[in-house]
Amino acid sequence: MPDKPAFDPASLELRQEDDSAQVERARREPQAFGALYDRYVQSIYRYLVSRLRDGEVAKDLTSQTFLTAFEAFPRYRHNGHFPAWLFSIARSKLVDHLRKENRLSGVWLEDTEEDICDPLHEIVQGERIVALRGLIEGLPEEDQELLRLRYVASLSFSDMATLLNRNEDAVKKTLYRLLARMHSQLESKHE
Amino acid sequence: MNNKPEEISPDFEDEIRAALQVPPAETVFVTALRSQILEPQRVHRALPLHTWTRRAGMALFAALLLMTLAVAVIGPQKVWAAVRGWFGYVPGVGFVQGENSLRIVEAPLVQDREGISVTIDEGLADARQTTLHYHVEGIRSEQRPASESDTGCIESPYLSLPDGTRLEAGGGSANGWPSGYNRRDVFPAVPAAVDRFTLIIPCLMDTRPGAAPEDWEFSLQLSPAPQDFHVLPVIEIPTPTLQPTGSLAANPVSSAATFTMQPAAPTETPAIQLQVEKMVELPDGYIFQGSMKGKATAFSPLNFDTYQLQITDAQGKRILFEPIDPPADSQPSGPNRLVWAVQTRGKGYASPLTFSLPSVTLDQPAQASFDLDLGPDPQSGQTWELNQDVTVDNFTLRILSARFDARVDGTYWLSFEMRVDPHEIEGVSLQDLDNHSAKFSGAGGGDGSGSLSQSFSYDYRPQGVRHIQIQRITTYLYGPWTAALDLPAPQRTAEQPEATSADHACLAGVGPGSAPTTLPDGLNGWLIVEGPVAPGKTFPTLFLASLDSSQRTEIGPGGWASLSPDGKRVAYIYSDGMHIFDQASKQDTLLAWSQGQDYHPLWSPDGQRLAFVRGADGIYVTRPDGSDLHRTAGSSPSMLLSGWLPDGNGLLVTRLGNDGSWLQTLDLASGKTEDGLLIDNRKGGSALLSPDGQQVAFSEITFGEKAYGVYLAQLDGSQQRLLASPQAGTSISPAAWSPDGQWLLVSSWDADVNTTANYLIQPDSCQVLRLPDLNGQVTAWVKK
Repeated sequence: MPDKPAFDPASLELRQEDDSAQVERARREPQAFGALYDRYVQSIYRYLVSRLRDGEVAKDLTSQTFLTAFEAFPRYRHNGHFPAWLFSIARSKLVDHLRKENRLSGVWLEDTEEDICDPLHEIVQGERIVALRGLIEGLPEEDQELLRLRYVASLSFSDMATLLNRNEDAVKKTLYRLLARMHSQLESKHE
Repeated sequence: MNNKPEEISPDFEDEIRAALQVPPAETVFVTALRSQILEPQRVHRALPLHTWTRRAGMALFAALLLMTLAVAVIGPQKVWAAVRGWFGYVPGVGFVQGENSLRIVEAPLVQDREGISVTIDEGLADARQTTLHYHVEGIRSEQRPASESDTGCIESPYLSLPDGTRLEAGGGSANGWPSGYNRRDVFPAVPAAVDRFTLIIPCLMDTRPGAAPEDWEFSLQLSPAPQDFHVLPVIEIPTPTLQPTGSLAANPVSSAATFTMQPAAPTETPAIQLQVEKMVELPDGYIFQGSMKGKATAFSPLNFDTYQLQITDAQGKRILFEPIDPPADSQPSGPNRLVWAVQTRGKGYASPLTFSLPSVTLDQPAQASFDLDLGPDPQSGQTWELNQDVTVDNFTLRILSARFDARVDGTYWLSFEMRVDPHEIEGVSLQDLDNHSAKFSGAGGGDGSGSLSQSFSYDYRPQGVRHIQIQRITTYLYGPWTAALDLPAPQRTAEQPEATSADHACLAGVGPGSAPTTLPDGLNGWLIVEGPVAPGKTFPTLFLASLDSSQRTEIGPGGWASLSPDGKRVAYIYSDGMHIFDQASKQDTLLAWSQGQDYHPLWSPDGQRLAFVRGADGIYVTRPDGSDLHRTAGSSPSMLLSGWLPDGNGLLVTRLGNDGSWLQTLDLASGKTEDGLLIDNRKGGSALLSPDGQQVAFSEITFGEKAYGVYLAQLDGSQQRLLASPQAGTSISPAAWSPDGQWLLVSSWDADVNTTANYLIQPDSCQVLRLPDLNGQVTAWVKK
């Protein structure tokens, strides 16, 4: 196993708080949008890659997401959920793309390992991780989406709730139940 | 509430992250996209929408006259080339193709449903594509998405042909405002045999599903373009004068730094040619389109910023231009060809024109690496002096130092300082190949003098030996490449004045330290300043400061601060609503009547009332105690607040709309508005009314410059002049008028280092002073 990332959930909330100042500044000074871009471009890209398994298309949709966000920014009414707004645009672009490609369902589950060309990827080939990946790929799309939003996009529960138009506690409960189920299945596989 | 089961340990969540791990986007992509998003044309994005079907006096005769004139000036074979290809230019559409296949959509067509109107303004079909312009008006705020998490309608319009063929929009543009939008959609060509088709608009942009009428259908009829249809001829220009090819890093110049320079290796030099290929005479100027051509294998990673192009007339006078989208003609950019296109504003240039490109950049993968040992427990702020030379593709860069930082947001950053020959290397991209962070960011850049920085983040604390790879290197390739163009005499004079160079501004290209700082006697006052955001805080730190910075009072975190005319009270916004800070008692009061959506409070001239914006609801006025709180008559969600009129009976507002931002006066008693100046800035332009109510300062793109400038004009738009134009990489905006209206304070923000410099400009004398000790955005200035 590689080093365990020292992940701090509190950092999500800090990021959300910091957004307010940047959003306010960007509202008055369009160039300040760059700070918001810097903060979220990798999250958006990673989220799209995780859905599409195609880096080039993910780049294209990342570009579209930020170009749209920049154009629509004057109409953005800040409610403290800038990442939720941004990801909703990314998800719209994704749906638009998949609709055009006639792959609104299913295809992204038909992933092959070869599609991912990433040296980092080689590091995490432990048996348990491989098993976990298999579990994830067998999940319904809505469960996969929850995992992606939390663990790829690093959204806070609050932003996830806003994005999914659900109650924050409900999102939290659903995710934790899902994790518990996955944990149980993983442990039983390794017994 | 925490429902987390015990078995869900952080370790298990880390495993989930590892299982979902995907590679980060390359720094090159991230950096390029950032530039694209924030390029001035996009920030600007307020070019007027031209019409092409009802333009009086625009006859084919004019086109033929211009062609006849062109025959006389540049020779018959060139015009023959134009006719043979039959490319024309239609303002608002772009280049069109096919002499006999131009068809127009019979328009306008209007449909009204439930108070919303959709108007098909114009449409044009040629052999390549079909372009439709339409606009929508009347969308109400309640039809917009209620939450930022919902982007509303995302379905694109399409064309339905009689045989059931569906043509999807493949490009276009749109501009929106609170009550509507306009849109230009470009569809594939409608077959010549088809003259009737249907435009389907499944839903209106940015409306909630079901909230506004959906499934709009327009039956459109195509007719041959009439004889008087206005198409500007495109003059194709044969092979221009070609100048020497470039050389890699031909002018290495030693710098004072201690890095080791190695002579540039004898690299194969790509043969490059700059060409001007086409031109169009517009009513207000010209469009020139050209290309850089070179060997296919060496050319694909080449790039240049179109603003680097220099155009001069025969007398050496610089001609300002703006880059535009190149036409999608039969020879687009490819592996051995980079297409550029520019538009000028003005005519009557002394021919011939000279086009010159001093350098291009070459971006290529690199294979070089070095190790950095962070040790078992690196500490935030720890630095390592490396002073290590790394050779990459025969270029040498010196890695000066590395620094480790732990940030409050939970991320860890490694930053590298490097030194390169600024004439050889524009940038490098570093990466830690062993970085397996789920969250990942990177940043980097240079100051143009050879100092480069690059940093990237981890979402865990890295330790031990890190293998740092130089992934890409961007080097310079020097010309200059030049091309000359014999310019035919203009067919008619320009319809508007020539663009003004930023060189005429009072404050032009000025950076920190380059303006005097001594204040004249008698110039003083109180400023309210938004300083940097303190760690862990949401809002900037507000403080009151005397103009000379000798006195300073910190208020606390907040934004949108406004200082009462007597300087005693500060109204500002915090996350819980509007506050008032009393300077004498230091008492801070949350105004009970305020709401979380309130922002931009402004004190009335008598200090008795506050105007502010309440979310998407519009502009409100109240007394500070909440009495007489009301939405102002005539207010609309499209309005931004720009100031009070001096008599206190009205407001200056900015109405966002189809054309840009209209400055309007809003009479508080009647709600009547009156149009003033149109600002070519779709974000409002940060307009500031002078204390006497006669002049307005605002922010607008300067034609031909890659940045906003600060302008001054009378309220009706007359006597407009450029006051300040920033140096590259910074943005500048008007911040506050002095109480006597003699000075304008402008704030210049450098995004790269996140610092703000403030300047005073006296418009009448063009005197410029710098306020050295204020790192923050000034929002008000009152008498002391």
